[in-house]
This record gives sequence, structure tokens and C-alpha cells, in this order.
Amino acid sequence: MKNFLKLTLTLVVICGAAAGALAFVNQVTMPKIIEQAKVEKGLAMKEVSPGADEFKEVVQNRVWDALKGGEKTGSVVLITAQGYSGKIDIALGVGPDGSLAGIKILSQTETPGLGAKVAGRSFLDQFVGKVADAVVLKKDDPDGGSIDAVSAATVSSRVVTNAVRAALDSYKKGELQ
Amino acid sequence: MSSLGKEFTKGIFKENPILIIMLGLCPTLAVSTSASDAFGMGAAFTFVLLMSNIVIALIRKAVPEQIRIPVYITVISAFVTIVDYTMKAYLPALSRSLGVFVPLIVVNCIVMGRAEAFASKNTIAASLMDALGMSIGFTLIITILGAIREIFGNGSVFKQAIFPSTYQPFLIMILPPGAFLVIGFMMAIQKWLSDKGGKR
Repeated sequence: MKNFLKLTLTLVVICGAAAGALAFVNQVTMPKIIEQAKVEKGLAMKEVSPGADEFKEVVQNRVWDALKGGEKTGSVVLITAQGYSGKIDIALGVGPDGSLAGIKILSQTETPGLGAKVAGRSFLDQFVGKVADAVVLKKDDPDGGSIDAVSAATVSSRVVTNAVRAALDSYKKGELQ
Repeated sequence: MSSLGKEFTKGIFKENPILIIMLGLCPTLAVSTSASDAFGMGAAFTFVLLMSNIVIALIRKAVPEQIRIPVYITVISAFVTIVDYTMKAYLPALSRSLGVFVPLIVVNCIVMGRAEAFASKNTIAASLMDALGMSIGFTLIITILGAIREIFGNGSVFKQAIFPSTYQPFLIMILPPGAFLVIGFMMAIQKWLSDKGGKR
């Protein structure tokens, strides 16, 4: 019985100390982590909608109106696609005519060195200025397609391309405004 | 050589945690796709191993034998969580590229192995030396592994391109088989060097 008490007490003391230390670290880092995420999102929005200086949330955590001097110049749409090895979060800037003004991959877990290259500028810059119909891999539609897939990463490239096209399509139909 | 010095140097070469004890291979193989990710992993790992070895050596006499494993796990996971939060707050880019492997330091067998095999039986000073040596051994090997894979698989090292852009990378080096290939060669070289050094 005595032994039982000793074991329990030792564990309680150690877990208590660990919990205390973690509570302290959490308190210090949490505001910083939240701020970090906010700053990052803000920067991404500015990057995909050139010129805009203010963003107004239209659909929660999904669509924002990009404003410049109080006037709407386009929208920012956040989309999530199911990639080769996990979720891919993408920020899109859409112009008033429904063409893509800017694109940035916020997070992805594709294969390093292969699929992860879809986050690189050389792949993403192909999308800029295009409308939904042109956003197709050349591989999938040799006539209408205009996007070159990243070599040896067709799945990741296709996922991103199709997600962007779907988002532009529904934006044009007015579903995201 | 003093015995403290020996505790320090053994982890770097003679009892290297990756090449000889062969623990912690999962994060080693998975995170070593680039030199900077590998080095970041090494740094996070170093902090956790140092702190947990010190704390475990400190409380070793107060911890009854039957509950030592849960106690070690509590101590280690507390430090891992501290590293994870700190990285997220101050080094978000590194934290994103290491992803799930930072929380997984909790189950890195090297940390648990050193706690069980060394820190629970030795003084704080010796455990500190042991942790330092093991961490340097781990960081060194994983960074070399990451650098070799990045050089051949991506034509760069620490994100600096070193080959002209006409270089065709060996994709296999970035993929999992590349990690096994390189680590096999590194083990062979380590064995060759230690056989040559002293016929034991």
C-alpha cells in the first residue's frame, strides 16, 4: 500500500511539473503563433492580388473582396485540394473578369524534390492571367490545355490545375461572390 | 582521456547513434532530403536530448524502477512540445518543412534509449556529456546525409545551387531509396575507418 502511494505521488508530481512548464510555454508562444499565421495569410493575400490594400471577408475563411482605396478590384479565394500525399492549400487572386490575377501555395506536403515543385514560381506563373477554360494540363488536353505539368509529378500538377479551374469556374458563375 | 571526455566523444564516432546503434532511423531517413531541414532536425533533437538527459539524471534516484518508463516519456514529451511550439512561433518556415517529425521526436528511440541506457544510471555531468556527444553525432550524420542527397538529387546544398542549371538531378536521391543507399555507404565507410583505426 505504501509503495502504491509512492508510485502514484511520484507520477503526480512529475506530470504536474511537466504540465506547469507546458502551460507557461503555451502562454508565451500562442499569441506569437496566431499572429504568425495572420501575418502569413495577409502577405499571401497581398501577393495574389496586386495593388489591393484592404481585404473584406465575404465568405468566412474562404472568400475575401480585394479593395483598393475602398473600391473592389477583385477577390481572394482560398481553396484546398487533395494532393498526392496530403492537403494542398492554395490562395487565388481573381480579377473582375474572372481571370487569375495571382496564385500562391500556402501549404503542401507533396514529395520533396518532385511534387513539392508545384509550389515553385516556374509552375505557378503559368496560371497567371488565364481564365478557367485555359487552365488544363497540356497532357490532359493537347488542344485547349496551356499548363505544363512539373516533370515526374503529374498527379500533384493535375490536382492543383483542376482545383484552380474549378474555383475559377464557380467564381464566374457567381457562387463565390 | 578522462572518462567525461570519453562519454562525449563516443557518440560522435565509436557509438554513433545512427551508424552504429542504428536508432532513430525513421526521422533520419525521412527528413534528410535537404541539408537545411536535416540540420534543423538535428538542432531540435539536440535540445530535447540535452534537456531530457539532464532532467532524468537529476531525478533518477527519486524515480521508482516500476514507473521509470512513463516518467521518461512525460519528461521527453514535455520538452518536445516546448520545441514544437517555439519553432512554430519563431521559425515557422522550418517548422512547416519538418512537419510531423518534430512532434515525433517523442518516439525517437535515441532519446528514450539514452534515458534508459545512460542517464538513468549516471551523474548529471556524465549524462550531459553523453547527450552532447550523441546529439553532435546525430546532427553531423543527418546533415551530411541531407547534403549528399540534396547535392545529387537537387543540384544544391543548403538551398544554394552548386551545379549549372543544365544539371539533371538524380531524382532517386531525393526519394526514400536514395536515403537507404547513402546511409548504407556511410555505414560502410564508418566501419572501414574504425577497422583501419584500431584492430580491436
